[in-house]
Amino acid sequence: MTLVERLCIYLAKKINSERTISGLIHILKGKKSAQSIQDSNVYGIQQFYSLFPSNYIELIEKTYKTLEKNNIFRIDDNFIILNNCNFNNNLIEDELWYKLLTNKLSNENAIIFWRRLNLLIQVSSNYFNGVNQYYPVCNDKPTQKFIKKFLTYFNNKSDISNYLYNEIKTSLNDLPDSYNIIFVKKLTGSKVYGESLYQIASDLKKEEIEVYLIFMSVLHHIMDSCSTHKDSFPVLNLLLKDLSIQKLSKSSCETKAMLCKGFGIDMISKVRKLKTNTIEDHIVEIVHQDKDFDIDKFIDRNTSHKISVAIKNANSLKLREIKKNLPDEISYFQIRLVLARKEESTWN
Amino acid sequence: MELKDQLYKYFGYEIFREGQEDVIKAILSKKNVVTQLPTGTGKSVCFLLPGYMIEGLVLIVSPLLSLMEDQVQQLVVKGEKRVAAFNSFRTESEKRKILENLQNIKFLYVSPEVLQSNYLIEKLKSTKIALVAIDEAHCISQWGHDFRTDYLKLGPVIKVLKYPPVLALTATANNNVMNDIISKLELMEYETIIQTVNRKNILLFNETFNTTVEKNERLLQIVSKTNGPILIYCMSRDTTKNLYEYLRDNNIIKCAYYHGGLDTETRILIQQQFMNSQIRVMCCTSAFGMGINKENVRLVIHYHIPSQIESYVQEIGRAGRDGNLSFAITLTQPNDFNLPYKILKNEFPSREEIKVIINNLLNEQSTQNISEVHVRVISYYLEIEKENFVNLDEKDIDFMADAIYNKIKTRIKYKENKINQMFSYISTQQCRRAKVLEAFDEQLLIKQQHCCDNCGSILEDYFENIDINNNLNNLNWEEELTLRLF
Ligand SMILES: [Zn+2]
Repeated sequence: MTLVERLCIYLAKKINSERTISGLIHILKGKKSAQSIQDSNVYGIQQFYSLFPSNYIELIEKTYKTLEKNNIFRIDDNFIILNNCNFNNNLIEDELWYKLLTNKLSNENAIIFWRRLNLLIQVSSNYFNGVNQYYPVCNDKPTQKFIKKFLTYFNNKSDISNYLYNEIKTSLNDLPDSYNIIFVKKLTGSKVYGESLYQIASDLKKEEIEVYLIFMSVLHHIMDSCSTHKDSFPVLNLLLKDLSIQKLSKSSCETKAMLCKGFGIDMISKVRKLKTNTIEDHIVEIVHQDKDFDIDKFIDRNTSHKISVAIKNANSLKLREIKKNLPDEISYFQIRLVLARKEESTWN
Repeated sequence: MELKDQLYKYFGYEIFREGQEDVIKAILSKKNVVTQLPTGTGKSVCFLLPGYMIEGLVLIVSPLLSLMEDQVQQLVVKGEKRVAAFNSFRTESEKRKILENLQNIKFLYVSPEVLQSNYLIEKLKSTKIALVAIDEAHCISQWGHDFRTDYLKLGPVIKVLKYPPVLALTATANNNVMNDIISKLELMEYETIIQTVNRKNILLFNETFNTTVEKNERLLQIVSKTNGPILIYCMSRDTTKNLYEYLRDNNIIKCAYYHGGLDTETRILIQQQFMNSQIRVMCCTSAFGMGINKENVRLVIHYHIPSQIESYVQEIGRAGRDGNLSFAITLTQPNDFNLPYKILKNEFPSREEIKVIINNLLNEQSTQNISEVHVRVISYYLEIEKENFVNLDEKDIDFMADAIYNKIKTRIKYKENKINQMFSYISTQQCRRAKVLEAFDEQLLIKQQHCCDNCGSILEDYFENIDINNNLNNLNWEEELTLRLF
């Protein structure tokens, strides 16, 4: 079985026949909707949220079609139902890259961090060699602006290469050579342009998507090292500036701000001219994202306990199944709040 | 200072290429210029150098966004800060900033569609304009191989700007197209400067095969016996990847593939690796090459037949810019002859589809499930046809669909002729060079010693034994990190 096939089956198994393929694809693409963000948390696949750019999404969609044809699963009313599959999750979860994709900083942030690092290395290597005409490896305007400003922190710009070398090497020393070579070959310096993922994959005779996953996992590892041992990575740490863990949709941010000012759900829905349902979606999203957000306003301890019990008994994360075993006055919104607060880890 | 010294001062070149000096001199004497310069002769020097010598703004109209971005980037790399691109990539606030800062800009690149913006035109009207340079000017002609409706609005714009000096540039135009450019731009007085499309140092070959296996084996042989950078043009993205894998499996290591479907980062890396000679053999679609100026490309192979001789001439023109002997080879198979027709067929909508699209457009319904290319074609024709009808009822719509369908049929016929012309180049028994020139209303006056297969040149005579350095430098990751950081 190829890695991409294993990955597809793994994800299908994680969502437990409770979501459609397009629901899953939204997660992988990183759709900024309350539903997708919430799903990625509930089903314990946060690290896959917004992990894949469009070319890999296409590959994954194609693989799902092949797997369906081969009867690995069937599509029932758009839901993915695995056919008595004895797939072992460890085939994915034992992989080092899986363990490194901690999602402490989101994948979106990892990409921004990469663009900055990529350009900075090229710029500093060219400073080191006294070259001042070259084609920038990243043409993203915000990144170029960031690096321009970044450079003003340094008096002697040809020193930056040295700092970067030491910090990157320190961080990579924790990882196996087979991972490091992939990451390092992507880098562009004054003398050589970096290799693309498909070239590295051909050289190593690996699937391209595996090379990509390893590359992303090394990025996360470097970011984690920087944020946990700030003192050892002074330069790389500067590249993390303004990267928040913020994963909320814009609309939910506004709702959150109003909640913090003491507005209630009905008031917010009136002021913002949105349905109360929508505001409730926002709140569930906020609870997922912010572990310390206070939900006592919306649900009392007793109700919360009842719902927890019902979830255990239902043995499913489907709302309808859970609601069946609860008194009518308990709303779907309250069930979702409890689900959001406890998160997947508690249920397994 | 002499013109030559100016060239050296601003670009670091010692001498002009053929045609450049004539064009620049004509511009400096305030003439309108319509010029055909073959690809690879450095068209941009023709408007950049006068720009440095005349007071005022140089407005450059360019049809391809990515190419425009690339040209701006290259100027910035060379240290020119007074340059900007005004196109649909820019946000509203970026556009406003450019316009507020217009007096500090020397070279403004614009896409033709933004010239519709009144705000931009108003700003330009109060700016001193040194020159309007129109790149790829054949796009204005419906006889051109790359007709773009946006270009038709250039004539009126020049009028509104009170006739600043105009430079219309093209690499590939026959007499019809040249005349069309002049009339559509409404130029009263002008000078035409035409360079031959003949690239003397490029030898022309065609080889025919019965099977793909034979074709691939020959491709491999040619690639292994040619020194220097090689471009292999294919019609489909999948083919570029398949050929890449085939060549890699056969020990052609410094090889890559490139097409428009790759992500931006990969595209930049591959292009620059090629420029930097990390890659020798590039399997690509026509998306590769624009804005890439590598002097020593030795060989351009066409693995599929292009659908018009203009594209062919443009693509082989990327070989031998250093003036050294170079090669253009078409590798053909009998069933290759179907492909261009098939692509053409998909390019235009059917009669039924036309009607559906008209209805959707008139009722402002979504055209989401319909090919974007088709919608664009129809909405262009619809704009023109709408004026002829009043009621826009069912009957009118039927008439309109017929009218548009007839226009499209003419267009298809025209394109079919183009394909036939390309095919007759492939299957000719006569001199290929003469055949190319004929397509551009030129005649081959002097026979060349190195010319084409039909004139007796044999590819094998030019084969070289090359040392393909296959030892991948097996550096460990720490050494690679050092290589890239220092
Ligand atoms: Zn000949």
